[in-house]
Amino acid sequence: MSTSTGIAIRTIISALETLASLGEQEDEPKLEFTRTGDSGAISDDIRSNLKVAQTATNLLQKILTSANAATKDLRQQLVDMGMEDRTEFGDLPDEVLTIIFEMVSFEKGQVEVVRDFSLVSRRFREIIIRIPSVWSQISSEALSAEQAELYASRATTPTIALSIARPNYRHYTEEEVQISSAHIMDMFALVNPISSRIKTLNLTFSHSDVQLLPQLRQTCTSLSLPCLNKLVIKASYFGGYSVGIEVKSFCSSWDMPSLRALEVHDVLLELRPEILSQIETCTIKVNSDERWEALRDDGYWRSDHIVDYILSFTSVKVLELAIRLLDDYDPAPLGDRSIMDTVEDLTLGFERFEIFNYQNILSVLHFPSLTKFRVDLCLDDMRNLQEALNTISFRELPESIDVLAVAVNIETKDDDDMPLDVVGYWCEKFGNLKRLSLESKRDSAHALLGFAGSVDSIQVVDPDGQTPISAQFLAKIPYMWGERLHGLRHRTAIVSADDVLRGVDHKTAATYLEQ
Amino acid sequence: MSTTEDKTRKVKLVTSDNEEFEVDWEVATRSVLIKHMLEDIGESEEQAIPLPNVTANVLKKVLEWCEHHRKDPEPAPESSDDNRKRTLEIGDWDAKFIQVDQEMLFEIILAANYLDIKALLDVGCKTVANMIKGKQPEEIRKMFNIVNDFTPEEEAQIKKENEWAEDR
Repeated sequence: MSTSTGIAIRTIISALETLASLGEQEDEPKLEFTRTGDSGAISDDIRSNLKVAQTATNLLQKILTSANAATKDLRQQLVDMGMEDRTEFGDLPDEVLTIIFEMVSFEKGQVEVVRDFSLVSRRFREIIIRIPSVWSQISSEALSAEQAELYASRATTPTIALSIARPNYRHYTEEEVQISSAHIMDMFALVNPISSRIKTLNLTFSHSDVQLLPQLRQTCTSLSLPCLNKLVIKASYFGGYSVGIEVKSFCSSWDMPSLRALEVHDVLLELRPEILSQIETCTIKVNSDERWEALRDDGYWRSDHIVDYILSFTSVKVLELAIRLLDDYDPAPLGDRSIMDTVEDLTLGFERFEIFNYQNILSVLHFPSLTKFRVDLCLDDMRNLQEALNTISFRELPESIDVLAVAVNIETKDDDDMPLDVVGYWCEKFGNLKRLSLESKRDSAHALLGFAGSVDSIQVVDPDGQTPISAQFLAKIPYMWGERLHGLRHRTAIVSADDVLRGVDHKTAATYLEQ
Repeated sequence: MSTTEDKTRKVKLVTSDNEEFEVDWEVATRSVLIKHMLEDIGESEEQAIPLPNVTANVLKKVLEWCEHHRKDPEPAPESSDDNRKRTLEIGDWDAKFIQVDQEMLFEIILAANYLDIKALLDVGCKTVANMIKGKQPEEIRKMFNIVNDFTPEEEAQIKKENEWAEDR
């Protein structure tokens, strides 16, 4: 044993003895060290005592670690012998387990939660049965008609979200098609009995449903859906023909006094005028078939019909459009038949580059009250970005836009393309903005924000709207990152326009929000 | 709304095992329960808040979380409850903080629930949710020492109820 270790041990023992003799007193024991009176030897004493103190510290740390491990081990032995209570999963109250189950159901789906958790124990099952939200998502693709009925009976509040869609059976046998037809009929039969509790209704029609339409119409005629807030109707294409043309009048006699949000895919759904006029949020996607060149003359939606349909939403504030105007359309002069002055928030979605070969809805309609404008581009090649943006040109540029979002998704992994300056040129026409959002999701693409690695969205904020957004301005952004962030969750970075101008490093400038 | 005076104020908390903690008002009031108790006792700074359902080692951990999140905005109203449950992602700091053994995890959840600290309760619940998501019933039982108290007939009946879901 070295001299310093021996002294350290004796010093610790002495301190512990002092501690024991102090008992409950407040004073803490001190490690005592001797010091010679000879001033010449003082520095040597200090060095020697320091070494002893360091050795004592190391010894005490080892003792502490060992004592902690022994405490844990001995406690575990008592727990195992049933002589000491230990907090377990079972001690969590029902309200906490309810939150946990709801969290899993939002992430993994309600049906999975019911299937996997109901079988764990009686307590699990009883809690699951008492959570209305777990039973509120009713989908024909996950449930039989009997199960759907059971789910509806357990969703105790008017929060049911009902979804009916035939599975993709393109390669299924005739028998399987018949089985799925019977299932669709059973699911539609459920709509009427639970109609007063449906909050969201999502119906998808394929060409096999066309032959069922007379029966389905009979089942769902004059429906009353007092709580329905959102209606989604989707139709597919088959043989160059939009099934939506057959189903456009399916909901025309329904009473939906609470309907505020409508989403239609390849069907211009006919609704009562009073319902059309109460829609506040509307998504319209039309003529989206990939094989649009093979569409029959009577198989697609005509431009004049589309424009009239959009104009029929007289109160809509939030509008999302993904539209191909396939036939030539001669826009009406600016006036009542071309102005939508209620729209404040407009999103234009473009699926592929080919779409730019067609007339743009912005050249037809005027949105004078727009404050938020979002462009959602899905390109096949980043080199087409400039041309794509240039086609997005307003008939008359609204002066009220102060929030602009540009989302560019592209199926490439080429992170070297960072054409922010191209976006910047296009942004110049909007003048000063209060917020510019640049988005590029890593899941499908990452060309636009490749320089920033794990960042899906960069928002430049300028509350006073004093900084002109230009190509030169946006070209500064990649330099703020310098190196890419990797291995992090999907994030939104928020930076101020001032910091962009000053070239402040993102570590200082950006506030990160996890998505 | 907190005042400048509140922010400099100290709060005494006493745990079930009689340990006293003195913390900043801003840290202590991450707990809605403590905030309400402080409002009830008014300006009496000397009066300690008893926390009979929390032990010292758990409170120490909870206060570590409250200290880190002392500047966070006020919790959202009840109406946004659904939104806070929609993701199981946990922030980097919280993920490291909650890397504890199962017993401490459950203790933190119980304390967060009792003290009414929604954001900490979410971190704990998300951690458990991440542990059980995608697991088979037997795996969940084994993970948490849960006894299968169904009769074979009941188990068969429940499986039958979920038959369609099994096929998907």
